[in-house]
Amino acid sequence: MIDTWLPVGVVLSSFLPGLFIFFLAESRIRLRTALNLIGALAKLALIGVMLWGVLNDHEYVFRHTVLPGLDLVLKADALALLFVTLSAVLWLFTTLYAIGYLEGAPHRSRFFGFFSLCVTATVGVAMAGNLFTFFVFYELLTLATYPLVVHRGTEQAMRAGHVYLGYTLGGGALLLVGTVWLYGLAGQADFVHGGSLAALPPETAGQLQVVFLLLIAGVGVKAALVPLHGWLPLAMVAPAPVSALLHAVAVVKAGAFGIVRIVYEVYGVEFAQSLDLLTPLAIAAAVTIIWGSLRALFQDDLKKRLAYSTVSQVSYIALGVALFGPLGTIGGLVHLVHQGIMKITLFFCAGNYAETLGIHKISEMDGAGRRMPWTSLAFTLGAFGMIGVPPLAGFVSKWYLGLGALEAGMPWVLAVLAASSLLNAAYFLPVLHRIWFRPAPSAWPAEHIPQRGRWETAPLLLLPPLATAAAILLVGLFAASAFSPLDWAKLIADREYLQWTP
Amino acid sequence: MTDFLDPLPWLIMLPLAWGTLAFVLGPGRGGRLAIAAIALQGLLVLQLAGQLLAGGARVHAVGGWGAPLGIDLLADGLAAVMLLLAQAVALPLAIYARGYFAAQPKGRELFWPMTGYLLAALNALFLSADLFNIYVTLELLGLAAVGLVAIAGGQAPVTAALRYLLATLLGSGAWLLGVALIYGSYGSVSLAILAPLVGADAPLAATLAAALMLAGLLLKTALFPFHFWLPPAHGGAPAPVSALLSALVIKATFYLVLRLWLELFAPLTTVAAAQLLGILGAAAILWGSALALAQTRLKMLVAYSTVAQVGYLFLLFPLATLVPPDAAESAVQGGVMQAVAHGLAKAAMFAAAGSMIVATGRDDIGRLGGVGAHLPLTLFSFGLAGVTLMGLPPSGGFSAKWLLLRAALETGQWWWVAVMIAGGLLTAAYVFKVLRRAFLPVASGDRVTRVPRTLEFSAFALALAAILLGLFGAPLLALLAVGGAA
Amino acid sequence: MDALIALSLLAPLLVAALLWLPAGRAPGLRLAPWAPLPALVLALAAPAPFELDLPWLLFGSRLGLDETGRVFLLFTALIWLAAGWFARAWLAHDARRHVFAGFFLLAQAGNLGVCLALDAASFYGFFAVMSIAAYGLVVHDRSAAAWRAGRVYLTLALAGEVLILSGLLLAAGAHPLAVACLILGFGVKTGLPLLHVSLPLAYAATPIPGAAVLAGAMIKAGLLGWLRFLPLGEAALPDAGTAMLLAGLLAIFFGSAVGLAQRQPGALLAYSSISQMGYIAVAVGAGLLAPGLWPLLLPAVVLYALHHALAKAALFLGLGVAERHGATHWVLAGLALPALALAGAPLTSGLLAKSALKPALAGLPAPWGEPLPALLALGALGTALLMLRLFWLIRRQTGQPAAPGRGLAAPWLLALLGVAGLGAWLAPTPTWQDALEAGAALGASWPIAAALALAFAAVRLRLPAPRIPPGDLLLPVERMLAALLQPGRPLPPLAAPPSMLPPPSAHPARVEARLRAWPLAGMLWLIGVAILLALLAR
Repeated sequence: MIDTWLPVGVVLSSFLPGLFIFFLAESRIRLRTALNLIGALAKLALIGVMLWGVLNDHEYVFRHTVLPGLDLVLKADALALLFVTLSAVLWLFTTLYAIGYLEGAPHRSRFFGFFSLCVTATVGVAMAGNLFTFFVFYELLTLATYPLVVHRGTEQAMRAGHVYLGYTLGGGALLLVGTVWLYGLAGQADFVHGGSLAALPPETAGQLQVVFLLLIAGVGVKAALVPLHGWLPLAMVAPAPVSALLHAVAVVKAGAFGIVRIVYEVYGVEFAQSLDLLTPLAIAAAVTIIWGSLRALFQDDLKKRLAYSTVSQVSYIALGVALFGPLGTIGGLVHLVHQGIMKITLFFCAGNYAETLGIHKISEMDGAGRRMPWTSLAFTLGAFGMIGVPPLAGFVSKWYLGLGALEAGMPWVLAVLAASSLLNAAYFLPVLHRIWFRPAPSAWPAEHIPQRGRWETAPLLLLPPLATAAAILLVGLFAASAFSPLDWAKLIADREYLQWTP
Repeated sequence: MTDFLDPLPWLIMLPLAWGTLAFVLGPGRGGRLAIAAIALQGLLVLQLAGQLLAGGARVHAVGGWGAPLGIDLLADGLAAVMLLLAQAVALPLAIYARGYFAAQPKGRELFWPMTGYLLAALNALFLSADLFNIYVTLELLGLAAVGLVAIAGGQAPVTAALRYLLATLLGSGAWLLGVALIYGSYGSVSLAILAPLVGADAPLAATLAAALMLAGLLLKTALFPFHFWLPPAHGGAPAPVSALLSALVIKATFYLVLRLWLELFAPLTTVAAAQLLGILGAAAILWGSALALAQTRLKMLVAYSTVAQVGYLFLLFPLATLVPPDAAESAVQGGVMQAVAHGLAKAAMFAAAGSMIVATGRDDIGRLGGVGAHLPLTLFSFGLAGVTLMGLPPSGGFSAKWLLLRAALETGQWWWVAVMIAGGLLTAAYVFKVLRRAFLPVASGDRVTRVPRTLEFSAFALALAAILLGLFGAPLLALLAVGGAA
Repeated sequence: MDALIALSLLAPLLVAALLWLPAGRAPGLRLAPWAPLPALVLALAAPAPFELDLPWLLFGSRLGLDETGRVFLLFTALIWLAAGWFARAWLAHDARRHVFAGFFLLAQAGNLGVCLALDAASFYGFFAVMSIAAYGLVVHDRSAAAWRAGRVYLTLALAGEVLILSGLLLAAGAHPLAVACLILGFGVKTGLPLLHVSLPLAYAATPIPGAAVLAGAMIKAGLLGWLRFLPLGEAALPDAGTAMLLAGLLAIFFGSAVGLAQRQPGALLAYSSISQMGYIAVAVGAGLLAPGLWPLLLPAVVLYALHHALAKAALFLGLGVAERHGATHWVLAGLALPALALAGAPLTSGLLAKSALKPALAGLPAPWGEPLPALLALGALGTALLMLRLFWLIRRQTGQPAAPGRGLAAPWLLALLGVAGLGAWLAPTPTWQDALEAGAALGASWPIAAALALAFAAVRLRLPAPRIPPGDLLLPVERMLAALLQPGRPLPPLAAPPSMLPPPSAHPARVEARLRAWPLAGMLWLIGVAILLALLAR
């Protein structure tokens, strides 16, 4: 009984507080904060219970029939928990950060309501037990994030929201067609280890390839695969916590996670390989990695540069998925977590610069390290992590991706990784150079939050990035330890390859 | 005694009775009476649904006289689903209407009686078992609807009502002509008697009858390009009226098209005719959506959205005609689900639009700023209704789309897939055209006033029902399967 | 011993962390010079070989010391100690000395870790930390030259990192390209020709103590990378071996020649390093060519590394002393020791190192066995000339009384002691015997004598010294890049994403109005009836 309702509880733990928050008056700050935190902590507690269970080979499944032959399934397996844990932990930090960030801003009830809905949808995406359920929450995510993207209500935000909707709803439509088609072919599309389509008659192979294209294009919009990435850089007009949500916790992650689920648990990675689907996916990911980095080089707006960096980095996940072999899988999965931690840190920091000093552009960042050393330290760790400097998180991902590329017999991927690392360095190091080595200007663009003793900015703005920055270091340094993301990714990879012999 | 307790006749008698009483009692007490009575009707329909699920479809001979002389009432799954929809939409709308007419009293005296007759006609239409009775209910329905459009007075609504009147009379006339031809050919108007008689070798007169009756119904259902009367009528009427018309009245005629196509004229149907209906449906989707997008008045936008959504209903015909039974079943389920989902969602949308108009004092999409901040629940209802119309999960609209898409892919008719997807995206475009405005702050010089809570909550209840339909659609489909077409 | 390893690595990091906190700056600066002491103790006291498995660290790390690692750790720790001690005095009046110390300690931790790492991932990790932190040392002056040097240094270092990572991964997959990637990747650090351009810029721009560790200790980390990851002594790789051997020879002569054309002592020493690392590259190339010789070559390479590291560090520190105190006799005498050692004069570590190298190289198959000794001797002439040129450049330095100079002598003396004693202490007995033979002494003396004669002639004839800017080949490349990129010009934006809404046009509305007119509507309906009829009637 409890096993059935735990996944639902995880979904509800943010949904119900979200609903309450919608109808709270703006002035009920304490109650709203309490609801937010109770939801986040309750979610973490429930996830903790399930982590323990899954480690001991337990599965938590909730099933509800929507239409005959169409079930809504929530399932907590190892892969789901990888993503759920990531988003729940980062949600807690993002909530804290958002409370600090939006202090005194209007429409906070609306903001936090949708914020909670957004995480609800993400958790649903993570725990979806079949393609239909995945689609349901994937679309819900689109709807829940739109109000956040346009939250500021400026012309620019409206435009970004417009483009965001255009892309994501279009992607959702492709995903829908692919899903319906697949249900027609296979009768169902439950997520099971090793996939379930290999049993279909061989004459459906052509259709399955088309369906794969539809599905990947559908989730590729959120995963910002080139050329479906156009919405992401525009969406950076949203407030910083929303960017963190878009780039690290929820949206792009949902897309990347969708690719993981589709390849591993719908098609089955071995079957996908036999249909020749992985190499095109790898090429698409490689193109995205390089293109995103190239575009990032030429942005002066800090958040825009970070956004293009996301375009590039998220495709590491797709790349890892496309590398046939457990090592590539581990690399892709672990990057799902690592990219989240690193990118959320960077966006928190970008938000801090903007909120504290009014810095939005890279050309305004000279000497910011002197004024905000801790924020800048966190930013530096994030940037180095992205470049792949050991022993930070990004290095672990790249290491396994590189090994996976060789295992899959695609050594050209190494060249892509190398080029991407260099490009990452080329667009991050100048920023660090400005922060640390340039003299500070006589006045900041708009100093909103003055230095108060030891605090370079509001405590709620400073602590979340410091925590996530510490995580960047820890998950890399202790990658081989038990319960590290790497360890968990290995556990998943173990279960996805049914007939693998190296 | 059991006969007396049978819900079927009461579903017709009750609204007739409270409609008439409302004349006498006036809008205040009449409204309260109406709400209570509709709630009772709802219970009766639930009781009926339970009976059907347990015992299958059944016929009720009014006063004990059977066909061909007496009046038969036929209740099968399809009819029950439509009845359920009618009462489920009417109840929140009645509550809404009380609040609405308190704020905008124009036309409140006539609203309750007209609505009573409208519901009586609807319930009777769904339960009628012969073609002539259906004609009578069609006329009553049309007149009540036209009357409702005109109750607020004013030049534009009256013009719209007149145009509507002409269209509906033309449609009913065509139906009557068809009934005459059928009677001439087969000597009966009872569906039960006619069903075995009409075959593939039907005389030309019967075919002509079919063409006339279907075309009349298409006109009344406002399928493209016969939708010309709908936007002014639905867009110009008071919000509760628009909601009733868009949600229920056009569904009634769609229900008849479906019955004729699947039962009486099934032997006559051809793939080409089905494709024609599908093409008109597709055109309606694209045309209606494009025009909705071009509107500057909120209610006109919602009205054109109805034009578009009607198109989805007609996609079921190419998907259900002369195809494997699996796909046909899926298509019919999808079509009916769409009718129900659209009914609930469109009622919610018109109700929410009405609240916004009451709050801002004008029917202008460009002046909706501040609605999000002052009427969050109304905006949320509008959004939820939009989700259903877009066909996003989880919602009744999504379930409908899923079933239709499945049928389309199973029968290899991928072009309908493209139409449905495009329609969904266009829907999103016009829904968000409204929503994005509402997120903006109040424009200078504009004022957003509060509206009664009942307005907000009744719209929300309708929208929520449309969403829940997506999560709990299985029982509805089980009911639909009882004894009938699908 | 485990605790000592941990302390060796954590001591610099902890002191660096202390420096980060405003309150910890003063104590941190006091502690900073002594951070490498635990490592020094470890190198002296650890039983060799010894290993420590840390399965929870990174991908499961293994730290420890083998014979090679121990020598490397010994001279590395010693150089960092001397340089750190030197830096305290050198930067006593510098407002940003805590910044320098922070980067210094980070790079130090990386460098010590490189010596201790026994698995690929941790080696790479420490190496990367070292390379990147050293950027802070290079740009410490914040001058235009420092910025340029930093940019070039970092670009090449990162390219090297990427090559190394690729090489390590490829090696894990036994891919043939692995060796090339590793040679080139570590070659950036060791200054292989074409990859050497950052060295002269960086050494000239970095404050003296930084240059000493760059030139003495960190450059050897690249060598250690070769020793750890190339399949030396295991497989014959004739192509790679030949290429490396040739590159080494080129470096020896190219380094000396371009070094002679320098005006800045720092840049000159950089070219000297390029030249000296050429010898080591020749030896490593020989090891790839003839795996059988590796047991002989390895001790020679290690000894050469030790010798060059200490001598170069001592030279740089001596440069600093000369700059602050003037080129007094004592200073010049002190500088003479490492200079002679580099030139391979008798009784120095240089001769020891060369004596160890010579018999090993002589065993190479044709065409290498014969000409190599002669070529190497010619190289020694170049080195001797370079050293003379160095003395020529600094001979008139008068010192800077205003700048802090107290406390520079002691650390320099420590380095000089290392030059004088460590090589002799660690060299195996046969090498000693070889070096002490009269023939060897004579063979080692003639290049110095010849160089003296040449230098005398050049001064007498007032030959104009050629002038080549530091970074030599870099300049045309920089110019080309500048022309190509024109920094600051953004790429043209992509086409704007398509707008989701069609423009609200009046057209559909007009069509709609027509549809509303009764005649058309009625006709359409009639047509509809007709078409339906036609379609239904079969």
